[in-house]
Amino acid sequence: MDYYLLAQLINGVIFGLIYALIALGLTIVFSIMRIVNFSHGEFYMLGGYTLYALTSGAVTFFSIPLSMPTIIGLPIAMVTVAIFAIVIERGMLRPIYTVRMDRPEEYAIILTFGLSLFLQYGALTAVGPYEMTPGAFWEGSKHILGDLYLAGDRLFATGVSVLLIAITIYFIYGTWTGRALMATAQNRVGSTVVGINTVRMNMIAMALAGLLAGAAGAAMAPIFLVYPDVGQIPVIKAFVIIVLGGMGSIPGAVVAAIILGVVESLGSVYVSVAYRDVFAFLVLIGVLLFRPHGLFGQKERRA
Amino acid sequence: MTLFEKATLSLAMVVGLAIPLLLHNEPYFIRVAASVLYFIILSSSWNLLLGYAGQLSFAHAAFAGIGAYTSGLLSAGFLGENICTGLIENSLGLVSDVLCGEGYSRDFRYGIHPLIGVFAACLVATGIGWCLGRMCLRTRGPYLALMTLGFSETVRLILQIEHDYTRGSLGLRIPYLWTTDDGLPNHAIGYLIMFALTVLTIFILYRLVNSEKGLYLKAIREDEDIAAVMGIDLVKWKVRAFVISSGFAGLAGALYAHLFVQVLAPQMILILEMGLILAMTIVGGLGTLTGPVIGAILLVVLWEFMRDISPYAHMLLFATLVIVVMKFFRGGLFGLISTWLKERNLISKAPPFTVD
Repeated sequence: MDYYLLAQLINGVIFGLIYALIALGLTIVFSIMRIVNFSHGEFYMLGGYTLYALTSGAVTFFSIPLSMPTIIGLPIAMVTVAIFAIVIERGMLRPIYTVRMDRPEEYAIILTFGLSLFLQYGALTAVGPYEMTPGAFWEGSKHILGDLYLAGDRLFATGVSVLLIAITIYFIYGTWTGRALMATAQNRVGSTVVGINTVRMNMIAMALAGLLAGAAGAAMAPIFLVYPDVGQIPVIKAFVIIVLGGMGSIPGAVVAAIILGVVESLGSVYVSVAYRDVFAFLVLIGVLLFRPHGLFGQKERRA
Repeated sequence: MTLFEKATLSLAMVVGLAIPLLLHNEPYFIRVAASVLYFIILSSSWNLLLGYAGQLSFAHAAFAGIGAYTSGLLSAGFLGENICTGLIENSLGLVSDVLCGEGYSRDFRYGIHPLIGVFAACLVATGIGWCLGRMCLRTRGPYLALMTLGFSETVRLILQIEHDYTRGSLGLRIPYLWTTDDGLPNHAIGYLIMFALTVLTIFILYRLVNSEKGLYLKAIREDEDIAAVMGIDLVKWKVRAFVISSGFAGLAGALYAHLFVQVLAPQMILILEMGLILAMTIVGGLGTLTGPVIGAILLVVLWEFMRDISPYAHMLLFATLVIVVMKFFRGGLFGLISTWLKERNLISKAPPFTVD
């Protein structure tokens, strides 16, 4: 195997792991709350902007320019986005489960889509369409093996992804809160009966989604820069990933993300670089034609 | 229909027809009025899908774009040759090579007549709508919303990438359907054509919604399981609603492009455009025929007033309105007015759309 192909495969896996970070939050929210969060891409954007505000020195706090190290900015950005996600859950999405309403799915999609537009155009009005560059996490390019070099920031982002995916999987499968989350995902009424506060589970799911999207946004910020519609393409890829992996499946999301990353990486080498973002849609068509419930998803049960 | 409804409808028709007569010297106002009509067609046909059949699609702006580009490429000589030999005067005698890029001109003589292009646009939009609908309306859940959002971005990307044919973000110049003697677009005629299409759209939607087929769609919206038990073929009717709505979008996009937009750009498929259609329908009133009309008029007028503030301020306001309307009164503006009107027996008492 030549280094060129190897480099592309590694690149694909790296992108896949980064996509996984975005898709994981989306799939967790879908599995618990049964809604698709269309403003997930803007959580990603907010992560990037928070990191930029904290580390670049462009923003002042009581006339002290904020220029903390990026490595400290990352967790703060995560927590900020998670708090924002909790506020959104309380203010907008909670009525889906606490109030009786018609067509809750439609309500959730339109509300989160409206929120997504609001945040995008809010950012555009507030800071303008300029691309902003937060400082690097790990400067320079790193030698991997042979002729293979990778940018330090990409390696850092991959490391963050692997760490956070591992922590999330441990949290879901290894702790009591995670088990309560899984129970809620499987059967809401049943889990209420055994004493799980399902409304709190919604909040935890949204907070988790905020943490992961914020981390992705902040870790990606030095590579892809930050601008108002930075989240648009990644979130569409995350939609493809959760459909491919099976709506609401956590291992499915990780596997599908890596598949998509590799497909894109090889496709952009052997087919066309310009069509890089189009491959995701082709994958989506393939899934919907041949396996609508996804790789790891369960076939829908008809009531 | 009550007397009040008839009176309002007649008044709307008279005002709509009088606009080109009153404002024929004010191209700006006619253009704004035409864009209102364009958005009325788009949001009304989108409303058939979400408001009546309960299916949420984000590809409506994409279908309008597909329509515009189909007709544009056919009539701008897509099958002919691109002539890149400096300033050539084209068949319409327009001097806009500066607009099209230096030394670039397409010879419109190689293209087909725009009117045939418009019909082709409608056919292509319908066909793509059928394929997309068949693909993602088989399954339940939010697949249509996810798929159409991806579709919309993909169409935009492809139009941008294939710039040899579509001229990408530089813009594709297309011939006008109706020009005055000096080669400029005839705004009054253009407005009237758009008005005719708007009336036709709303009439067809009115007949459809108040027929047995409309009842099928409403049944699917309310409860798919029960609708299936009642013997309604879910996939068939959902796909039909999707096809009709995308056909109207393609038609409107193509006509509007030939009558008022001279230069097509992939930006007409941005999620922003979809946001505008969504905001107009939701703010006006989902699931009513009057709602999208009110919403489109109100939001386009607001937009024109807000142009001075900031180029994106209108979208910020519309997004806020969508959130507020969805959260506090899902019936939209027409929902608010209609309760008031129903108490006074001014409009017929159809069952309410949303029960909170």
